[in-house]
Amino acid sequence: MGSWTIFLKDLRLELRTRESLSAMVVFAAAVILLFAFAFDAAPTRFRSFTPGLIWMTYFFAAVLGLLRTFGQEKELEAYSLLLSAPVDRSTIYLGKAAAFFLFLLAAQIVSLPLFGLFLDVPLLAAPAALALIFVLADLAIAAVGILIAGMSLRSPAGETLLPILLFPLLTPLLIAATKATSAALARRPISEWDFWLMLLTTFFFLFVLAGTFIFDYISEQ
Amino acid sequence: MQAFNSIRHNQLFLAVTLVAVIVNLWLIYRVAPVVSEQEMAQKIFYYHVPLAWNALLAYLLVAVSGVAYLVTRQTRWDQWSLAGAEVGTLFALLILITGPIWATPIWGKPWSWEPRLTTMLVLFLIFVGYFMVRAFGGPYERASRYAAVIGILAVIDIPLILTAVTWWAPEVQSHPQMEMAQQSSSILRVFLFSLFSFTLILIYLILFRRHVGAMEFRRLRGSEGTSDA
Repeated sequence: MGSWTIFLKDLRLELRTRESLSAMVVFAAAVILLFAFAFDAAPTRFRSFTPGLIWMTYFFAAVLGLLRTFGQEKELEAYSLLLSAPVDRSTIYLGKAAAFFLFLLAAQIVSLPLFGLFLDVPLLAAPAALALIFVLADLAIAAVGILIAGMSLRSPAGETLLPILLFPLLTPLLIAATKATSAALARRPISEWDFWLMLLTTFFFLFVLAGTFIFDYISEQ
Repeated sequence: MQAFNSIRHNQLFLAVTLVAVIVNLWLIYRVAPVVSEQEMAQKIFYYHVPLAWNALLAYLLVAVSGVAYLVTRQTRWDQWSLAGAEVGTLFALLILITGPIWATPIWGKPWSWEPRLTTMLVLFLIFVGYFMVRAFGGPYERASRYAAVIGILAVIDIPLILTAVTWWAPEVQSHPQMEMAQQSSSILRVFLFSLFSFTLILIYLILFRRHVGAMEFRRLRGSEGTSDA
């Protein structure tokens, strides 16, 4: 119940300001445009790299979104007030992670077509498989991202710490997402690459479990 | 607080460790036979593999004492965690140095994005983050708590990184599988002794670092006490 309230609160805040979402979308669009210029010479030759480019773009966009989400909380000491609410800390974690998952997915839905448009990524090759990959990967990114952001952004050097901590921890996820995306875009049957989906799912469950257990300890004053 | 090496049983432990290290060097260069196809390059395995096993052992200590610290809040667990992280990362760095030294003559290039080397690099990067959290994480108590969390998450991540990079490019499977049981017994025996002596070094360094950590904490608490007064 508490998680749901926090989820709705984050959602309402985002709908009013659109800070995280616009930051992520604009950043993704700018990077995609840069890639398009950089690889202009031979787009087909770079097709094998594009799944990696997609996930790198969304990793950095996610960092940006996390910075913004917690930046808002920092103003007027809102985060401290939130933590003093008489609920279990893990409900705060789950609510914020669910909201961030939705923002990330929304940012991707808006910006992903640009990959198809500028970099010739065959997005319509396997739309259902792609949707599944993006949902699983985003769940995992949100699970780790909110945990690390909730911790690092309360430190003096939080903005620097966040990407430094997040990137190595997300390495297996980024590998799995990239591999699955490239298999799906190549229209390979799902039975050949369902291993990567399983890895994404395991990653998500392990880190959500860790997050609900640990968030209590990192959010003390 | 007494200096670490002025305590009798620590002196004894240091002596045993030094003897083991010297015997180990003698065994590696004089007793162990030279493997014909690799010649002297193979000798680095008597360092590389024990370092890897012990680095993982140290990281396990970081996670276990991290959990203990979060639950009990006793500073001694934080000191164990820090000691494990520092010595483990030193060992990880040495693995990342000895691996390419061996690979240059054998594979023809120092780095090949081979699964286990990649895993160790990622793990090393996670622990670089760990030390940054310690340095920039805010007040001592909070930074320790955050560091404990990173240590726990790192150990959860190890099997996932390993699975991911092993499946990443199955054709890059050139890490020599040390099937020690199939090696001649003289190689196996030297290897096991090397493992033993590196474990002694690990334990000695961790005990030493933990002792220094306890001294630092005392001084920290002492200076806080005087500034309050």
